[in-house]
Amino acid sequence: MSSPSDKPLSPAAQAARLPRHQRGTYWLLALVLAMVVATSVALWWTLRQAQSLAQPFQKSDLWYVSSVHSELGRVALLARKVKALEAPEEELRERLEVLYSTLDMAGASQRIGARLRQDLAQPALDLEELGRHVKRWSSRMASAPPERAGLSDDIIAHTDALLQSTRKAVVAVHLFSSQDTDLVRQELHDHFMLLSAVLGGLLIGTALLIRKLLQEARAAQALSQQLAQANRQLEMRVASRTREIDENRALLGFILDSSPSDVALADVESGFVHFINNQMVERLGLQWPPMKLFLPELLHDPATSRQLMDALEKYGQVDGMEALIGTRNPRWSSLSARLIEVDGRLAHLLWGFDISTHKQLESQLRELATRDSLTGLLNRRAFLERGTALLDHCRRHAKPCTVLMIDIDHFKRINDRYGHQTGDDSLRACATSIAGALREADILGRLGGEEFAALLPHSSTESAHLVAERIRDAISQLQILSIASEPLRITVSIGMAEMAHRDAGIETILAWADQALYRAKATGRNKVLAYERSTPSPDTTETLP
Amino acid sequence: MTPCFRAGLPCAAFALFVVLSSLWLPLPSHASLVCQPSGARPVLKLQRPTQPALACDLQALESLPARDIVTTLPQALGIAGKSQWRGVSLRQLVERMGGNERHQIELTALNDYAVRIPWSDLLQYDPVLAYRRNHQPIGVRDKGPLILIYPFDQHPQLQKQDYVNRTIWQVNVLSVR
Repeated sequence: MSSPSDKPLSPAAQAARLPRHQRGTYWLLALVLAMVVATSVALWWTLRQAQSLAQPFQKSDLWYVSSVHSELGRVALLARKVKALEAPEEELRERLEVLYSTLDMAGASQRIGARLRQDLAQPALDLEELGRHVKRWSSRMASAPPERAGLSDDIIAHTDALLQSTRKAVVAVHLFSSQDTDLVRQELHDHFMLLSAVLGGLLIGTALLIRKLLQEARAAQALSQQLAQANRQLEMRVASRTREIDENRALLGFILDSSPSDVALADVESGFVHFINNQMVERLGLQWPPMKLFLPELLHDPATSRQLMDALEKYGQVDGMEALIGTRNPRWSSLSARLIEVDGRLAHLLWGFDISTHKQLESQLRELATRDSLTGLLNRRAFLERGTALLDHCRRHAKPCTVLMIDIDHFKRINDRYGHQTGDDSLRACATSIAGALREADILGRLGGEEFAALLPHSSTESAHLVAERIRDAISQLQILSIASEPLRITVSIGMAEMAHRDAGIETILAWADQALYRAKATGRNKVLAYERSTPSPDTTETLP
Repeated sequence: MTPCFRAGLPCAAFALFVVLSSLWLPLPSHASLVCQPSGARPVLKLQRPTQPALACDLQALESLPARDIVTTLPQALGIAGKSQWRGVSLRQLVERMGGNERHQIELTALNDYAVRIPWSDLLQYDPVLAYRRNHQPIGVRDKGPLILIYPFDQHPQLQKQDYVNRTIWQVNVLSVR
């Protein structure tokens, strides 16, 4: 009864135990089958026995023989009384009839069992002899008086011997029937022993079954306990993992939230926002994180948006792309994007870094690089750049284009006399005046010192002359005060040169205009002169160093 | 009693008839009304409580209301075949003798075999003290002239040694004490 299922088994031990366990089950099954067969046989036999016991059966052989003996005794006694005339003959007749019926002549074979007749030959013969006598006496009794006269004597003569043999028969039958009963008893005893064996087997089988069931139940209980424990451990581990993951996620969220970058992760198709940090929410000008976000709609400029999407589709990633993001108040941002998979679906991961300040600085720098800091006009380099572009434009469209070269007369003298401050003021005033006289499309630059240049597209020398004159007039009208509040007058000399069709380069035209300016200076200043193509060579060689 | 469970109205009518006829019948306690002696040889001695014994002959018994039982007897009795037994209802006979459930009923045979019949048997099975088998008188040789017959075929619970033992033949004394 040492059950190994008391303590939890390792899986290996259980695997090793399985065959034995199964063998036990087969043995038990065989036992149960045997028990079923034995019980069926026992049941069949018992039912058959019960059927035979449904009717009462009486072993009345002894009663029969002793009744015959006692009736014979009564007949003998009565015969003596009849002979002595103490009893009526009628009574003897009745007694004889009773004896006759007791002997049961008609159905003798049924009254005396076949075995009795076989095993007890002598008593059977004696009874048959008695039967013959009784038959004879009865028929004599039924016949006429002369016939039955000596009947009593006849009866008395035979009864003593008959009584003795009947008495012996009683003893023999008694012995026989007691033996017979004992045989029946033995048979019944054997049968009950057999039945007991079957029932005992049944009991043992049932006990084994119960033991087996108990074992199984205990094993099942142990197993379920193990399972519950494993389950608890698993749950604890899952909980701790979940907590770790949650903590990690919270940490990651915190890091991303406090990052200066804008971060958003959104499903490509549905636009579901997996993650968005506060920075990005603010950048988009929203109060709350949006439920849906589509990357293409995030960019201000549709063309840039398309470019970004194309690159993403092609390479799966985009880095450092500068674009305006946000729709209401777009800001420059350096964007990095990735096409990644989240929960089996494509998602856009967008990192943005705000570069508005950079852009501003950049434009400021650009401004600084192109403008003259004193007057705010284009510097020489910028003027040449834009001038070249404008010239090309005019040449393409076969339009005239004229350059004005403007120089303040005796500026060195102003500087020397009133100081640099006043000189600067004068330069600024001049610049403003010149600009005021020009059209929107014209470009104006300070080429250096007190020298300005203007490029007038779509203008011939004639129309430009008017403009130059307006400029000269406007500057001569200027009311400039020195630091010492002395009024001073400024005049300018202006040289003009028109772009010829074949000519190329702003520098050349500027040189021509410079030649005209030189002539204007040389011929008295405060005047406007145009470059004259007829006499270019000697002038040029003279003026240009 | 048993047939009365089946038929409602006819049964009630029968019961009424029995009651009315019992009113018309002579009073039971009167000795001479139990059996009228006709001078023939008596076959049954009636021993009654507090009254002298009576001797009945077959004729007197046959003049009493008869009851028929058709049945086969258990094999142990040695009388084979289904037979019609006619006789006096033992219960009626005992009641006519003034006996009731407080008395002991005992039957004795010619060979001094004697059995006691419980009152409950009379109520339940109403056995008959038969004097004719298949309309023929029964001789002493054939276990006559009187034999107590239970309706074995009608009541399967009678298949017991008890009732085999109580089926007494060659009855010559009925004692009610």
